[in-house]
Amino acid sequence: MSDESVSQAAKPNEEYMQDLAPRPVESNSANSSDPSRTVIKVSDLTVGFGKTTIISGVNLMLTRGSIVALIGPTGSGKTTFLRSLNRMNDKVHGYFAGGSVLLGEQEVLTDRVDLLELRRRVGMLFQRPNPFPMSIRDNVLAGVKAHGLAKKSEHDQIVRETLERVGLWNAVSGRLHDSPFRLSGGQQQLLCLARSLAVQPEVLLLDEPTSALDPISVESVEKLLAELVSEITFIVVTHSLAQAKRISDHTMFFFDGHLKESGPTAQIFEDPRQPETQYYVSGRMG
Amino acid sequence: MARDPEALTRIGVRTRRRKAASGAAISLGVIALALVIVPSVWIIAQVASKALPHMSWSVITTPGVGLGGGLENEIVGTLLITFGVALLAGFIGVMSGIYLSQFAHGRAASVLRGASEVLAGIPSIVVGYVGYVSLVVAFHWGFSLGAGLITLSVMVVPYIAKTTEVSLRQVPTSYVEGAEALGLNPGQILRTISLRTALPGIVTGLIVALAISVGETAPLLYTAGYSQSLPHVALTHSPLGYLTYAVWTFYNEPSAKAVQLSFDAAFLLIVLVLALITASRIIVARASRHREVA
Repeated sequence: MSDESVSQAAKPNEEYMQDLAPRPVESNSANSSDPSRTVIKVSDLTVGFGKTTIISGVNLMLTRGSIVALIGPTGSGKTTFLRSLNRMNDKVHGYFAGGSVLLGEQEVLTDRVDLLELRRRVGMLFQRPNPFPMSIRDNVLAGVKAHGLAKKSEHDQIVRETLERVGLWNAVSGRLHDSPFRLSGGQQQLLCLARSLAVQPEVLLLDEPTSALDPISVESVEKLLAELVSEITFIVVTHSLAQAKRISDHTMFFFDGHLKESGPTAQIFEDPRQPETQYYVSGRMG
Repeated sequence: MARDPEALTRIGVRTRRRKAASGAAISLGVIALALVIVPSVWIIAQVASKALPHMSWSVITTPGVGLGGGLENEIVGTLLITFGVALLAGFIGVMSGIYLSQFAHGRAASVLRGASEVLAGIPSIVVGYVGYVSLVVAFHWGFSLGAGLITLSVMVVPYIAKTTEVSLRQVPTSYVEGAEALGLNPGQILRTISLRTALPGIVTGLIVALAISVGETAPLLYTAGYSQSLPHVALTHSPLGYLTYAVWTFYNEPSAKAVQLSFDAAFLLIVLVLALITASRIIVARASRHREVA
């Protein structure tokens, strides 16, 4: 959807918003302010393409071991924000970024960052499952081999452990050398998750990871995130408010290129401070 | 709600018309396919029926003597040239295709692509003549294996580059994005994802290019010359025989034995091309076993 249509979609609520006194965003930190638990710190992030600024002035802190949901209308900048965290926008024509994104101590938005290592640490799962055109086993090992993370003798064990972690081992142990495209959509997505987990990331970015899946597969992916959250921080873009409510500890609401509000999920859904948030989470704005 | 009987009739008429149009389209398709298949089968049958009755093992194992003997020198010559073209044109063509699809941008890319298309459009006899003037005469290479295979390679490189470029461009963005997000470097992505996915297309292009070069005569007449002795592997001053020469020359000789050899050579050429196509099918099938669309 284009920016224009978004602003059109947002128009009907203008009057409604005026009724509510605007309240400032009090804190953009997504969790308690203990700095030792901060995994990503974003300061004054501005991202755009060509002459168009897509997101601006985003500040937030994400803590280790949490699931963060990114919600907001289409075109609000969620995905652009998500893809800035592992520099996946770099190749898009006219991309520019300002401000700062710190991953631990490492500044992400600098030419000196090792992009390959950054992407190992900050993995990504896409909307549509995208296994590589190689065997199931090679899919799991793709990143491990590329980064030289393990000796060849350890590969079998890694494949087994990773597939067990995502609950796919029993289903595929007999056909590790088969094509991944014979698996169901949900299984393919779990395989992609296994592929990302195999390189031991600290953060996983998920761009509507379950929107192409059936309800049973959605449940297994969500269950898995809950199990893995002690080791990995998940940042999930979702259009499903119910999903955001179910799985996330913290929710960030994007609107028109700005992080309008963020906080504990319960607060965002039950006691939103911003009128746009209130309007969106109540389902009156798609 | 009751349907208007007239409307039902109109629907019936439309359905019949649609079925008739569909039938006509399928018939045209079948006829077009037959127009492709019948000549191929007919040519193969004709050549085989003229060649096989008198063909013997000695045709393959003895070199030519005057207007008789066998075709060993031509067979070895054709294989040598084909192998050389596969190496030289294959390497240059695939590398150019990789460059065009992955790295070339803007003006440089369009100039290169345009140049490649112009080269592909130059008639083979002109390429042969240029090969003769430059390699055979100016470089003093004489009629030789080197001049022949370089000239043929120049002819087929644009073809290989184009099929490589197109195949690489068709690699789904989602594979490449997935690999980038996993932290694979561009070289690893090219090797493990893009080239692997594009392999069936690249191999098909390469094999078709080889089949074209196996069947070429004009550029070789200018550059490889002809010899009835077994080719010696040297790039310069090494004129050599090749099957298309035998087809062309022996057919016009007033000797039954020579005309027989001409058909033998034609039959061997067809076998060689069929073998190339079979090989490409096997490679494509092997490379495609993990593909998205079976």
